[in-house]
Amino acid sequence: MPSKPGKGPIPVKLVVAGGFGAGKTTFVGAISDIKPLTTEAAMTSYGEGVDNRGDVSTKTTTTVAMDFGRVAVDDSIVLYLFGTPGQDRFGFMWNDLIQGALGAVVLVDSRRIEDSFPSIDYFESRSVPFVVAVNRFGGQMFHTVDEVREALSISAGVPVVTTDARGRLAVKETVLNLLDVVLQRAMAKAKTSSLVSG
Amino acid sequence: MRGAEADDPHAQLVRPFLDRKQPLKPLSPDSYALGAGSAVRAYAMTGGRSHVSVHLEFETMLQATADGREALTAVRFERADILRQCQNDPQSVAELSARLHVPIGVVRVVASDLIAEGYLKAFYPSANVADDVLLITKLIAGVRAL
Repeated sequence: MPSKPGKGPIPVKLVVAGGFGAGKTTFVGAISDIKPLTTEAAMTSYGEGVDNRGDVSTKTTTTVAMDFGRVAVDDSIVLYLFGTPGQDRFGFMWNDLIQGALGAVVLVDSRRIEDSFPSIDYFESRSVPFVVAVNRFGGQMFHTVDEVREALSISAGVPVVTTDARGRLAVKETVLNLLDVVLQRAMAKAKTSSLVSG
Repeated sequence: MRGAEADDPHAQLVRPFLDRKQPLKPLSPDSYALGAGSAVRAYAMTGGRSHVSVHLEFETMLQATADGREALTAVRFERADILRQCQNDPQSVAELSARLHVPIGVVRVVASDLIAEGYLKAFYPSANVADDVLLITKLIAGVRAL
């Protein structure tokens, strides 16, 4: 992508989270212009569960591999999609990755709904716009969208959709579902601030 | 040092984890002081620093400036790798990390130096992207047209 002088690309980042095997890399690859790349980043995590010793915070740094893809959306916007592991006995501190992210897709494997709990908790607690996308894996759904919503107690404002991580069109649609939430939120905020200042 | 390695004074400049066929070029006076080339640890690549002068997100895109392209022959190791990798098209910090097999943290430190020296130009993400209705609208139109 050649960049004109004085006018460069505008990078935008989305996060694709979900449990191991939920199809994150496939999802990213379905829409990416490039074959998904893998990078490693050190993430600070706080020990939980078996490592939890009362109020002693066990802070450790773990290296996490992330797959990501890149989409040239138009002549200026470059969209990056980062697939990040969300199922772990550590509650990963994703702040570094989430910083500046427009929103997140939480991919759910309907056979292992509970794997997406940590991701949903994370985005909810930090008010990151997200959609929950149940990966159909080519037709098979072990639970309906409503069952997934209820099982994960997802609030009404968060869309729960089905997707097929292998299909470019389905993935595109899921990204648009997310961007719609992002736009609604941005417009609501703009309206509020114009009311306050006007 | 014995045998073949002794014959080639630059052989030791190729670190085993780098997917490099050719040894590095000999040192030039302007090169970055990173030791004799056996240093493979992150702190050695960054000269022991972990703090950066410019904060770079994973998606911040980098491109070599004219000065940066000229400096290609004068710099070494990660500095040269990064400049070479983005001498034509802008590349994100994450892409540089993945393509050069170097942790993101290292790319951040080395690249922020290169920016400070005027060798790299950075294209930062929009500061308040979540509030940027115009950008989000453009993004939606673009994704829909994919």
